[in-house]
Amino acid sequence: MTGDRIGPATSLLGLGTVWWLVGATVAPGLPTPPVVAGAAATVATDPSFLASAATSAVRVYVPFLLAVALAVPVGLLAGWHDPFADLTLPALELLRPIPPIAWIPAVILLIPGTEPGIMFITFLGAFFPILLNALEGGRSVDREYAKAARSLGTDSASTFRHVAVPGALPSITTGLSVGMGLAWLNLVAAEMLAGGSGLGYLTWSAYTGGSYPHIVVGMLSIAALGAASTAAVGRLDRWLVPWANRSA
Amino acid sequence: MSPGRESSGGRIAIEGLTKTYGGEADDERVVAVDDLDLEIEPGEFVTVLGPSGCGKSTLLDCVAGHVEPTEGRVTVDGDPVTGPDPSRGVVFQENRLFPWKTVRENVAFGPSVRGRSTDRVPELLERMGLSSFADSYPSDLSGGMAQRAELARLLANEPSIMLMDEPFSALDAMTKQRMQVELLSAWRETDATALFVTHDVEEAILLADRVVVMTARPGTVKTVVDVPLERPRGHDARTTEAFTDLKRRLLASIHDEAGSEFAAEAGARPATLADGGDDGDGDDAADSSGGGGSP
Amino acid sequence: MSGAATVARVRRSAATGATTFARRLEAVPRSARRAVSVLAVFAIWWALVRFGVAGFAFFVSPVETAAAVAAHLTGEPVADGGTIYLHAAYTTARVLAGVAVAVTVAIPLGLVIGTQRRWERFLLPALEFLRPIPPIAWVPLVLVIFPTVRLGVVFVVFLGAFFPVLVNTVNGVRSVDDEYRRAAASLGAGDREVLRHVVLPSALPAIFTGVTIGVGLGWVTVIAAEMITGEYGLGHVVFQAYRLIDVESVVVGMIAVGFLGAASTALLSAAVERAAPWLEGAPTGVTR
Repeated sequence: MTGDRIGPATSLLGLGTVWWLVGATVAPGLPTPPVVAGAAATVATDPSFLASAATSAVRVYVPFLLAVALAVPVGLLAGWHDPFADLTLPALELLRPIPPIAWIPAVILLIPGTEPGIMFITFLGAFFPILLNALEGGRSVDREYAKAARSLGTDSASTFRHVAVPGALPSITTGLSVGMGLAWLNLVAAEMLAGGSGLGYLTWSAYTGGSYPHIVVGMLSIAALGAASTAAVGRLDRWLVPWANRSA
Repeated sequence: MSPGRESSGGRIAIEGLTKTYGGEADDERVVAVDDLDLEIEPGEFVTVLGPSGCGKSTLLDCVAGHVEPTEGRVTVDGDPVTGPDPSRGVVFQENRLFPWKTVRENVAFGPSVRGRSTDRVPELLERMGLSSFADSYPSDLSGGMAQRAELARLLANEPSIMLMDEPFSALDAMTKQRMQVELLSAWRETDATALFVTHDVEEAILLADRVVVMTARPGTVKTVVDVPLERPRGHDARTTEAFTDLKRRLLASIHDEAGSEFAAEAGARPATLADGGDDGDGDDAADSSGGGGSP
Repeated sequence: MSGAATVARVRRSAATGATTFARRLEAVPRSARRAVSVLAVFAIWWALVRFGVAGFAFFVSPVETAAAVAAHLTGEPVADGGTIYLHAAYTTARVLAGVAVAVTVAIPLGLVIGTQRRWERFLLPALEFLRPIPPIAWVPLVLVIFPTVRLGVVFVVFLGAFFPVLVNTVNGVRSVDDEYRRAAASLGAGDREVLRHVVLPSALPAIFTGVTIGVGLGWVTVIAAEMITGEYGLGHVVFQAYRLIDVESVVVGMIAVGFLGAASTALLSAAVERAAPWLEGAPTGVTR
C-alpha cells in the first residue's frame, strides 16, 4: 500500500546489512556497499561505460524484435491450425531443449563476426519462450468464438485476425516478458565468453582485472537495464490487453 | 467445543443486522443488509426468497461467520457468532468440493480435521448414492452428484445448522427438482435447523416451514409467510392447491417489490402484502427493534 | 481505384491459394507432416555443410555427427578427456543439487510471502531487488566469494531455479479461491489444516509450473557457469572442444545437453501426473 514505507525500507536495509556482514566475515573478497557505491558514482559518468550499456541494449533489442516478428506469427498459426503445427513444431522441438548458451561455440564457428553471433544467441533466448506462449495462446482461444465470428460473416483470414489474435494476446505478452528476461540472461553469458564489449564483458573483465567493486556495479547495471526492459514490456501489455488487466 | 446435538440446539437469532460494503464516504457505501431481524427455531426449515442483489447471500455469510456484521449481531443458542464453526455447515452456490481430494476424502474432511471418527462416511456415501464414485475426483461428477457430495460432506460433520446458498441454482430443472426432494429427506433424518437462500419461488415453498421474503436495496425482511403443507413432501406437493395459492401470493409480493423501487426512491414506503398473518409479525419485529442508530 | 481493386484481387487470390494449400495439407496424414518437419532440419543441416555456406564449410554433417555420437556413447573420450558419461554426470548432479536447494527454500518462503502480509512487507522488497540480476551475471562474484568453484557453480544453478519457483508459488498461493478457505473453515479446519488441505494443493499447479521453469533455467545456468568457470561438465566440454576446434565434440556436447534437458522435463511432468492425479484432464480448478 502507499502508506507502507517501513516494510520495504527495513527489507532493503536488511539486505545491505547481510551483504556487509557476509563481506566482513566469510567472504573477504566481497566489496562493501559504500565501496560499490563509490565505484558506481565514478562509472556512471564514464563515457566508455555508457557505451558498453548502449552496446548491450542494442544486442538485446534488435534480436528481440526479430524474435517477436518471427515467433509470434509462427506460434499463433501453429496454435490455431493443426497441420501448420505438425509441419513446424517437431523441427523446433528438436532444437528447443538445447540451451542458447550451448550454441555459443557453434555460433562462433558458424557465423562470421562477433556482433551477429552474439545477437543470434540473444535471439534464440527470446525466440522460444515467445513461440511457446503464442502457441499456447492460439490453442487456448475458445473455438466457440470462431464459430460465432464465422456465423457473423467472417472468412478464415478475418476470423484469425479478429478472434485468434486478440484471444491469444494475453498469452503473447506473457511470452514477450519471459523472452525479454531470457534475452538479457543469454546476452550476459555470450558477452562474458565472446563479447569484447558490453556490460557482460565489463563485469567479467572486472573479475579478471581484480577490480571487484566493478563486478557488483556491472551486475547491478545489467539488472537495472533488464528490469527497465521488463517494465517496458509490462506497459505494452497493459496497453495491448486492457480487457485482461482491469481487476489487477 | 461440542455443538449441542440435543433437539433443542440450533436456534438462530438475528438482531438488527446491518452490513455495508465499500468506501469511507456515504455515497460510496453499499448497504447489503439493513437492520434485519429474524428468529429461527431449532429444527425449523426457513427459506430466504428475494431478487438477486437483495443481500440474502450476505445474510447467510453473516450466520456462517464468514462475514462480520457492520452492526447488530447473530446468535446461535444465545452465543454470538464470531467465525465459522463446524456446527454450522455451509453448501455453496458453485460446488466447493476440493478438486484435489476424492469424493470420499471430501466427505471425510470435516470429521478428519476435527479428529473425529470417519466411520459414518461409507454409510453417507451410500445414502447419497455416491458409493461407486467414492474414489473419483470431483471433476468426474455431474452437477447433481457434486451437490449431493457437498451435502454429504456437510452431513458428515453432524451440524446443528445447515446453511445453503442457492445450492441448486446451477442445475438443470429436472435435476434441481430431484435434489430438492433428496435434500428434504436427508434433512428429515437430522434434527438440524436449515437456512436456505434462493430466488426460486417454488423451491422456497417446497422446502420451507417459513418463507422469508427480502426486499432489495436496502436488504431487509419484507414479509414472512408460513407454509401450511404436510411433511414429508414429495414431487406431488407442487400441484396442490395450497402450494399454487402460496406461489401466487409470493409472486405478487415479489413483483410488487420489483415495481416499488421507483416508489422507494421517491421516499415512499414499500407496500406490504395485504393478506397472510405472518407478514405483520415480520414487519413489527423490524420496526420495534431496529431503532438503534442506523444512519 | 483500379490499383486498389488489383491489390484486393491479388490479396483474394493469395488467400484462396493459401486456403487450397491448407486443404491439401489436411489431406496428408499427421505422422507424415511431422516426419517432414523433422527431416527438413537434417536436410537443411546437410545442405548447409555440403555447399559450405559460411562457417558450415568447416562443420560436421548429420552423418558424421551420428557416427561421433555412437563413438562417444561407446566410451571414446570427449575434447580434452573424460567420457561423455562422466561430464553428463557432473552436470546432472549440479542441476539436481541446485534445484533441490532452490525448491526446499523457495516453496516454504513463497507460502509465507503469499499468505502472511506482515512477512511479505519485509521479505519481498529485498528479493525483488535481487531478482532482475541474471543468475549468470553472478558468476564473477561467485568466483570471488565461494571457496571452491564447484560450490559456486551449484550456487549459480540455485539462483537460476530459485526465483521462478518462488514467484510461481507466491502467485499460486495468492490465487487460491477464498470460497475453498471458507468451505474448509466451516467444516472445522483451523489455519494449519487450511494451509495443508486447501492452500498447498490449490497452489500446486502453479508450484509445478515454477519447478519446471526452474529446472529449465537450471540447465541453462549450469552450462553457462561450466563454460565460464572451466569446470568439468557438458558446458566445459562444448567450450573446450571449441578451443581445440574439435567440431564433433562441440555438436555431441550440444546434443547431450539437449537430450538431458528434454529428459528431465519429461520425467518431471510424469512425476507431476503421479503427484497430482486430479489435474488430469480437469478443466476446473486449474487456472493459468
